[in-house]
Amino acid sequence: MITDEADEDLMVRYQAGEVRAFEILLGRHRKPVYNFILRFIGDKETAEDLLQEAFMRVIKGAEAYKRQAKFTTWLYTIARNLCVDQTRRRKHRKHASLDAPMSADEDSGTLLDVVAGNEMASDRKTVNKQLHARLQQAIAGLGDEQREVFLMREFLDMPFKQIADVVGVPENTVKSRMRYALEKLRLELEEYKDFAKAAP
Amino acid sequence: MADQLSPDDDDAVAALYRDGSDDEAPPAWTSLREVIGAARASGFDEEPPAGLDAVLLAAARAHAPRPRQTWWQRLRERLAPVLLHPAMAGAAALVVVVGTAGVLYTRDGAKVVQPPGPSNAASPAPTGGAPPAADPAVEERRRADDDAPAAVNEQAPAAPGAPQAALEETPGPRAPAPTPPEPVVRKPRGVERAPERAPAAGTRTDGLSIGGATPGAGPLAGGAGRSATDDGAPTEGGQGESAEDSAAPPPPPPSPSPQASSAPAPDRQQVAPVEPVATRFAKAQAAARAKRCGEVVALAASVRTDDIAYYRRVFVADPVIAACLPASAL
Repeated sequence: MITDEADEDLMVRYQAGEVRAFEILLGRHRKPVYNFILRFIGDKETAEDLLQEAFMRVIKGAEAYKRQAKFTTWLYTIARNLCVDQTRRRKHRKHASLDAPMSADEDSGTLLDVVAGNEMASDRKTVNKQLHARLQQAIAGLGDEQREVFLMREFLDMPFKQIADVVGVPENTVKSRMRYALEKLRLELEEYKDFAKAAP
Repeated sequence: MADQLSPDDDDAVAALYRDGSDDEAPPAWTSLREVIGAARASGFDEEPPAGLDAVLLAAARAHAPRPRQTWWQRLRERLAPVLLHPAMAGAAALVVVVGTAGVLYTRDGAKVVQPPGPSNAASPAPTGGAPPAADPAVEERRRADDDAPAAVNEQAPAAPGAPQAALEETPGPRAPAPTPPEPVVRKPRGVERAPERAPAAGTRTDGLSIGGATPGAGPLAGGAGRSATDDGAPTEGGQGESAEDSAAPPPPPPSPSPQASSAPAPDRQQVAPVEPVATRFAKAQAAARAKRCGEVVALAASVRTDDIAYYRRVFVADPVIAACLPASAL
């Protein structure tokens, strides 16, 4: 069945003009890639633009795709490079804006509203909201190199070896960056440890 | 500095993401992963806008790579707009028509060279029938045309039916006649045919009739023959007839009166009995070499009667013949 096929096979099918194969690839990867970009950039609008650009590059480069190349490595390399370029362009906005809306909803509030106090909210919904904001804030507080490694490992489930291929550094360097990212995040999210254990 | 990784950290990081090895990972990191997992489980991950999918799928359709084609498919695809154009149908029809016409024309031309069959010239039975009374010029022309087969027969003896057509299709040799066909002495038969036919058959017939006298002369013998007459009247025509004679039984003596026979005999039969002076010259040469001087004298008289100029310039000029002739004949 076509939906069970490997990414590479689907890409070959798309090379042969089968748009349905690309549709399956898009369905598989659009969410992880979008979240990777979103957490990397911290801005929804830009994340949407970059996601579209990433897949557009896949479409335009499909003819040159070789079956030997791992599709996810190729796709994530594109996404990562777009994020790096975007980050360089807007270096001044390294951290998420505290007064920016957290989502497109009018009543979503700002990050400042959520993280203003250290005390834990009582109801679970509010805690989740706080946790999301704190996690986003902590991720944004990572250095670019640590952030990209962390996101790839946690959100894209990429092995360290593949991350090393995408980033272009040795695997040990990737692991080292991961280690420092984990340490920083652990300090930032220490207070939610018990909450996570209690989560269903 | 930050990229330096101690062996312990390496093991710890590896253990954190190794399945079933959580116990080996630092508890703090494991707790962190639980926090991250709880966040993701509670909706931290966001869905991309649905409109984006439609845009990307439309782009994927628009930019979908075309299936790889064989060179033949590519060629067909490129040529299809040209080949399917209505003008190409007209051009193709034109090519077919012109090609067919060309082939038919070529075949007809081949027929000209290839004789249709041996029936026509295989039996040039000479008869003594006299030509009907007619305009002398027309008669001359007709006779010349009738004599042509003999000349061609010399070149292609296996195709005796072809000469008539060959004369029709090969006007070249006839046209470039170097000298006007003005015979010095034009008799009603035989000799008259020579100038008309000479250019076409000259180079061919010389090899046979005169060639006997000038071995190895080949095509140049025709020129020799013309130079022998000096008056520009090619004598190859007569030599051509000698070829005809060689293929046919000896003709009867020429009819003294063209109107003696009222029967409409074919032209070929009318001219066949005439033995050209060149033939008689050749026979006289052969007889002289064989010391049959009586025969030579008879032939000399005959030639002298028919063509006095030829007799004086060619016949008696031959030393072998002259040796056989009496002084009075010289």
